[in-house]
Amino acid sequence: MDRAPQLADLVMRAGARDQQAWRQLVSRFGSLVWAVARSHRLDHADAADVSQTTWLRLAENLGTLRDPARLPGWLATTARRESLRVLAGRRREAPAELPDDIDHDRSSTPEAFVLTADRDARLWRAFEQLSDRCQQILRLLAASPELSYADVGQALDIPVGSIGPTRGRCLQALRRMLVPDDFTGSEFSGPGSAGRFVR
Amino acid sequence: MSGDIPGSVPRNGIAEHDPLLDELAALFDHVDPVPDHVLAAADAAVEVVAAWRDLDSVDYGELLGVRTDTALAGLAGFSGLAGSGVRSTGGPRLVTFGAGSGERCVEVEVGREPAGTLRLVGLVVPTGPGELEVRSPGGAFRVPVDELGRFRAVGVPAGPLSLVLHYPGQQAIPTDWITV
Repeated sequence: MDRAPQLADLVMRAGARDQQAWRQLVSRFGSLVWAVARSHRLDHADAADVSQTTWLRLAENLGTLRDPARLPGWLATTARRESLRVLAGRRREAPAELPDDIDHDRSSTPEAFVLTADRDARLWRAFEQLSDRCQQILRLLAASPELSYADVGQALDIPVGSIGPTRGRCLQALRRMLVPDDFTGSEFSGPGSAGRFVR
Repeated sequence: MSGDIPGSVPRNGIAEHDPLLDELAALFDHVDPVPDHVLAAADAAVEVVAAWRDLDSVDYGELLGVRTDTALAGLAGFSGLAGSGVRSTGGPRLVTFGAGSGERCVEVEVGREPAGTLRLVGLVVPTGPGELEVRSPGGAFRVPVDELGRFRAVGVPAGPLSLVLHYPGQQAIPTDWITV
């Protein structure tokens, strides 16, 4: 699905003060900007500032974007730079914590609720054990399907050729940690059980 | 291991689909969604910017981007995560705004006041008396720029910040937004 013409059109209309076009950009990429800030372990207040600076900067630069189709990458790179600015300038930190109760109002049955909550908790705990670099890359890739490897490389200052292999390694590491161990009472018995987590 | 799933939508521009990334996306949506007020502030951003320009009723000239920021200097090897042990350069936080190879630039030293607000002390080149507008999302105020190009602003809210140079009879010159 080639959304590039759509995106260029939205950017042009937003530049002409079409508020609805602007809101579409925000709803499409708002969570990406948030994910970049949070992947730098900024707390809510700092991440909110980074988000606002990023969108204000876009508002000022709508008319001069060189390639509107690369907007997701532009947003990710800008959010990263602002995140680094905040980190270096303020040096505040809030470790990402698992919330005490995870909101699961989408589930329909109590059993699904429990399973989903538990699965989320385990996925989160496994994710947290990954290296910092893996966490950043995976969070960015998960946050926006529209980010190309070129965008990710530019946003994180890493060579674009290393992203595919790194992605594969990180996902593999994550999978290994999701293999059930003592939760069901059964021991990890070998490669066969890894396939259960691919739905 | 991941592999092509028939009919899967390419993610990140590649066809090799991994459902684990979808699970991660769903997880973050659960445990760390973008807050509504953050989206609302983003929605308002374009009107905020446009409204100021309307109020000024002057033309805006070319935007001055960030040329240097000592907060970002010396980040070689910095993984970009809080707690990774960034050492500050030890000097004051200095930000320089400029446009390409143009001679117009604004140097600002950013200092923290006890109340958590900021103090800006700076210099505009080329010199000449005028006004500097200090913009935050919540509002803006102006301070004089003296004949040597110097200015000073106190009580500036931390967070997104942008400056605008106002000279009589000339285009207003805005800087890019940065987070301070």
